[in-house]
Amino acid sequence: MADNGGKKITLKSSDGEEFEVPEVVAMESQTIRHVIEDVCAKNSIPLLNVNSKILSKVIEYCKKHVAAAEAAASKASTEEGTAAAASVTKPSDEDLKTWDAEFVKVDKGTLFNLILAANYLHIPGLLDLTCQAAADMIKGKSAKEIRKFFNLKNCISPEEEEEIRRENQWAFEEEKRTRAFDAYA
Amino acid sequence: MQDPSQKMLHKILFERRKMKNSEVCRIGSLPDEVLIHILSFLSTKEAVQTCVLSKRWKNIWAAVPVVDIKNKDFSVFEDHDCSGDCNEELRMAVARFERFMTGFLDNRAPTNLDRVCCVRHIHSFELDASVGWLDRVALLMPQLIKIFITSDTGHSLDMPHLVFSCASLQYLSMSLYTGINNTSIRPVLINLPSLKILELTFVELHDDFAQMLFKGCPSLERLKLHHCDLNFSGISSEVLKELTLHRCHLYEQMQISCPNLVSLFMRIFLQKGGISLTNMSSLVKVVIILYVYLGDDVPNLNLLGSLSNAAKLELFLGTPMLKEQLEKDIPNCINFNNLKKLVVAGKWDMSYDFYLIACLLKRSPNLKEVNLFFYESQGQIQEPKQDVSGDVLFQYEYLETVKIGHVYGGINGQSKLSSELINAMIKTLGTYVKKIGNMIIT
Repeated sequence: MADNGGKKITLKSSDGEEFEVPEVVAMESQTIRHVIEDVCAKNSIPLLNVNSKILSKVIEYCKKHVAAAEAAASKASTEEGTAAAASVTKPSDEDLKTWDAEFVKVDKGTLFNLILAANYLHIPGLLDLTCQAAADMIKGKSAKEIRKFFNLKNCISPEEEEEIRRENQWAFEEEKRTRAFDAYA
Repeated sequence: MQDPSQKMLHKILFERRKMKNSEVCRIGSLPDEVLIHILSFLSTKEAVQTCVLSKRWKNIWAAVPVVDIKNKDFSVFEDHDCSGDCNEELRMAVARFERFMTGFLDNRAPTNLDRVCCVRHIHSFELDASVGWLDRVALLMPQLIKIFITSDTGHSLDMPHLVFSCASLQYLSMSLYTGINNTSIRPVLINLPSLKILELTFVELHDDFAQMLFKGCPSLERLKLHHCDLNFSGISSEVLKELTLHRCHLYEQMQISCPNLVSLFMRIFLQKGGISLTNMSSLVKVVIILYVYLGDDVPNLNLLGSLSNAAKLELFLGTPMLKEQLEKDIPNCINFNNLKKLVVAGKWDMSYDFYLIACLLKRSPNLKEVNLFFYESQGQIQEPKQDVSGDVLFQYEYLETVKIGHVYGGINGQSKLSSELINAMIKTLGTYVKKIGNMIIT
């Protein structure tokens, strides 16, 4: 990835750590892009909502995806038939998917922090990736299992739950027989 | 530089949300909009069932702008593993599905939908099955609709028509498999001003549909028809960029005229008629795979004249008769000045009958790579044409790469050209090409 004389920008995490990154990487965040383009003349951008641990992971994601996009673009322009190149899933797409899958193999707390950061910084690809990972944690679990897994406070009483199930009866008409029926605590 | 009072305000506003490194973030700290986004990655049934998780989660599902539903979600048995009264259980599962759709649409927030994905199998006992909820869903202005329907009833399906006048729709994919005949689509009106991509599978299309389609979809960039019956005579669009006709049966003489088309993929069974291409000046990538059915009809092929800007051309001709038709098309060719890669595959002995390829070579001064896939001639061998250009001897200067192989080599990897055939081809190539950089034999 081009690191030679491209404009650099400094991102400052909530706990005071500074990260110098190429501007094109920082612009993966639409929030930062607006600050750069609209406010301008910013060399250092404080991100009060993102700590250094999460910010370094976010930057890692942005660097990887900018590099992948640059590689794909240069490959397409050297190959004959740009339409051909665009319509085929190349090995590099698979590599990126694998990389993304590894990237979200983190503990729940880190994942939720990443989701918050992706939301605050408006990085659509990262938001989708992390939300999909969170959804995968919910899939296939019963209500009881989900509550336990996510440590949900503010639980409702069995009577209240029964009430909601009755109200939305059309959504609870059966449970798969092969799974233990343990929706009631 | 911010003034001190602004700095103070900033600190106050964000202080309480500042995450210390040690603090563990929980799902409860995510704002509603984010929880909604997470639920949009679940099936609709799973998303709705989060309503019992806690007070907070009671109505998050109602704002999710996605419908993702399969009738498989509603069957109790994991995998068609019924013991006992299977039919009765299937009836109940269908009823559950329908009640869910109604309940969902009745109880969700009155907001628009983003995308709708549905897989629905219609059982043989569902004689009056309908997909009426599609109309309701189309009114909620989704951007994407993807429907995959298979039916055992043997009847054609009544397609609701509001899908075809959904102003927000950008991507529509419909697959309607009924086992016997393709479903005939004849909407009253097509008005899809935002539609960019249309994919139809197992559908029967007539002229009225084709005309309405291009008139009613002024933004249509990609059209893909799979396993369709094409009973129409023209595809004409100023805007279309990508056209795919995959495993379609053609029953008319079809003319394709799309000046902005960049990519053309055709895998067509010619039952009647033929294909002519006109006005395709933007075409870069072309794949044409043709089969014919038995019969006396000789298809009219008018293809090569419009491919002069192509960079990559791939031809597969299912019978030697198709090769002869294409040879008749050669006088219409202008030079293929941009052609870098040429692939010709067919069921005739190219080492013996090289005429078509020689004609294409002569008209492609900038070729880099040629791939030839063929096999032994079957049945009567016709005397091939020899006179490529009126010149006594035509020779191509230089080809970077030449690949030769059996025409079925790709499918099962088993079929290989005999060594006699390979040698014969190498000899033929030697007479037509002065120098070959790289010869690959697969």
